[in-house]
Amino acid sequence: MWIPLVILSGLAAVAGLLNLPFSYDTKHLEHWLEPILFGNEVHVTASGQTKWILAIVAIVGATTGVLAAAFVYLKNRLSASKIEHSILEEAWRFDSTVSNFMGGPGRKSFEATTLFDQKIIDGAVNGVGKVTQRIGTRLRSFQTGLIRSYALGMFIGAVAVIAYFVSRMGF
Amino acid sequence: MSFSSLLAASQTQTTFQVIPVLVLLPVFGAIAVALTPNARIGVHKMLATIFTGITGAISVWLLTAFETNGEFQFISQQTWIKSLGIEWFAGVDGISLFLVVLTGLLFPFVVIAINPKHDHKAYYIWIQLLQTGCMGVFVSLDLFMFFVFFEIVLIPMYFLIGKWGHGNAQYAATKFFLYTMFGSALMLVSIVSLAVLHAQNSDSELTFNLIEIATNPAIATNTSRLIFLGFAIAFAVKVPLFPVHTWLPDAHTEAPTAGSVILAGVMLKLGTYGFIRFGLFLFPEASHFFAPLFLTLGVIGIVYGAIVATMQKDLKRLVAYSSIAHLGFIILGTFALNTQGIQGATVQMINHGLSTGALFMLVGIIYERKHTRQISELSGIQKSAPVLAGVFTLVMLSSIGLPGLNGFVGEFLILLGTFTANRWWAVIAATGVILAALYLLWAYQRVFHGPQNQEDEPTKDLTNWERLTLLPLIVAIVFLGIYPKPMLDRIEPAVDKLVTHIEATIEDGSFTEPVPTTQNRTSFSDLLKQTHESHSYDKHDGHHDHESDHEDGSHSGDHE
Repeated sequence: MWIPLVILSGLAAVAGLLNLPFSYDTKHLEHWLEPILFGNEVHVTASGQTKWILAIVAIVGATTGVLAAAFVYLKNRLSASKIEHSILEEAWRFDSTVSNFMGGPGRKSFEATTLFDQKIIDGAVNGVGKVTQRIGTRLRSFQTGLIRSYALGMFIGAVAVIAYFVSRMGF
Repeated sequence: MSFSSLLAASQTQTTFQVIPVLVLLPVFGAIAVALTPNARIGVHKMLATIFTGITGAISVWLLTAFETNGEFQFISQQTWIKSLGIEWFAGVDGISLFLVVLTGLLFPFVVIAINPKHDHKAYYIWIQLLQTGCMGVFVSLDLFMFFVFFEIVLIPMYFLIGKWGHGNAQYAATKFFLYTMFGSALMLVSIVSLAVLHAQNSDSELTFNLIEIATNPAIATNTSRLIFLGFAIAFAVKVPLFPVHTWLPDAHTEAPTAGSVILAGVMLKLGTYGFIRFGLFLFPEASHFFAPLFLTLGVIGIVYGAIVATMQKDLKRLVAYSSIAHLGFIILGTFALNTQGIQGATVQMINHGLSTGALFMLVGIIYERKHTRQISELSGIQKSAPVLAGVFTLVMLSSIGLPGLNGFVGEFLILLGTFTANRWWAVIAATGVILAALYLLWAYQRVFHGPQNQEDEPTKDLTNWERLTLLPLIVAIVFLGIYPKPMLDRIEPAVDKLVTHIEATIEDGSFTEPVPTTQNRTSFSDLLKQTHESHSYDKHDGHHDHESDHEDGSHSGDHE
């Protein structure tokens, strides 16, 4: 396990060199990304002095952390149990919170959405098909193929038309 | 005389009509297959390979002969129905170029890689007619011609799904056909009314010429908004956009592998391409007016598609729903109405074709091995089929949008464009990227990891033939991820021109375009120069720091 860690930490140690903020020519990563950003990137404007101060704060912070860890775990000057609270052991319960959420309400809401897609959205589409089919079935009963019933329909229609015109003539 | 100079000579000296050849060659292929006796199965495949292959080769030649500018090229124009002003009017610009190439290359790929289980002859006829239809849509510059090809596409696909599909194929095919026809009917009304109103209002003869109508619309704002909606509904069904998407999962799941690959690779792009070419170009004002609606539907599609994909039990259906999410991204980019957004959308159309096409290929291969697509019944494939698992991983990561693979380029441009236009939509859409990782990685974990099913035989790994056929897709996925510049350069001028056209039409001033796209720039290096110029501008204002000082010193010398 230590080999991948060594490789990763080695890479992490030099990755910062890709984009040193001290001069235009040392920002290799920025130049590489420039074409795709269309000049839309936001430049953080900080003076050289601010940058140095930030860099020093970061390095001091990291070094303190490394030294403190060595003090506790390598030298055993302080019992580890004193600083390791249970919440730290569970990594701030971050993972379990996410799992509980995704396993519980998260999953339920996802399932509800899927059901909504099946029953409501797709149901509406299939519903249109079913309604059309039903209307067709009803209408089919009028298409009996019997000349007499068609003739009756024509007769009723003709009477209706005549009745309309007669009513408009207005005697 | 070298081959390339010969090509160059033929390009300049003769007026070789390349587009009609590109569109009609597969038809001749279909006729050739139809004339071959039923029993000669090998010959059918060979003929289809040759004809689609030559079409593919010509489309690649088109790519090399294409000049990087915003104009339509390889124009071919012929009167078709004179009394109605209908023409065969075809051409290619940066937006359609890569879709033409994708159509050209995906079909021979599918013909070579996938064999139908039965009815070989009919299969190869339909698949070649399908290529003609798709190709025709992407090159049409005449509204009527576009409509004809848009409709032609339905027929071969209907038969491919219905006849060679599995499960509930008839249902899926009919649903697909009716649903799309419903949209197209509205588009036909729109096309006719647009042409007639244009002729009446501008006192010209009836024409369906896209460029003529777009440059001189002569139609009242409200009317054009209505007509736009007719087009938009047809395209929205085809894309498909939430809530008219439910034909897609059914069609995808029941279609044969070849059908799914083409459906995802090319046919869904008919809708998104339609939005860009016929929506934005013909109706800039209406597009701008309705942009919030389509941005919303796009974002809903992204999140909704991803959520529903997560819960799918069928692997193929999962990929189908992931398509809905991806196409939501394309719509989002399109209706950002700026250069990055539309360019991203164009790029993403190609990327989605490659990665989702490859995903469907792989799901098809898994189905052939295990005779099931149920995720719960698949497990531990990775142990006995490491290469299959590796290829699946790569394609899946491309679909998720991992930097370094093609999916990232388009997604990034789309999010960038959307962010500058309407940042909250971009923020919500970005969650879609996370959800994509969720459903794909979870599916991968369940299918490839875990214990092997003891009762089954171990899954066979990819054969050499399958590896060979998948290789071009993988090469394209990686190449376009690492070096998208050649593609972006060719797309950009056409998109710039479109954005300029949109901006010119929108007068009310509410339209914001944050990037200097109104100038016709030719390349990225010009753009970089401009960026640096604007930096040296800052300097004179006095708002500068140590860093931009240095930058100006080394870069702005040649502009002054």
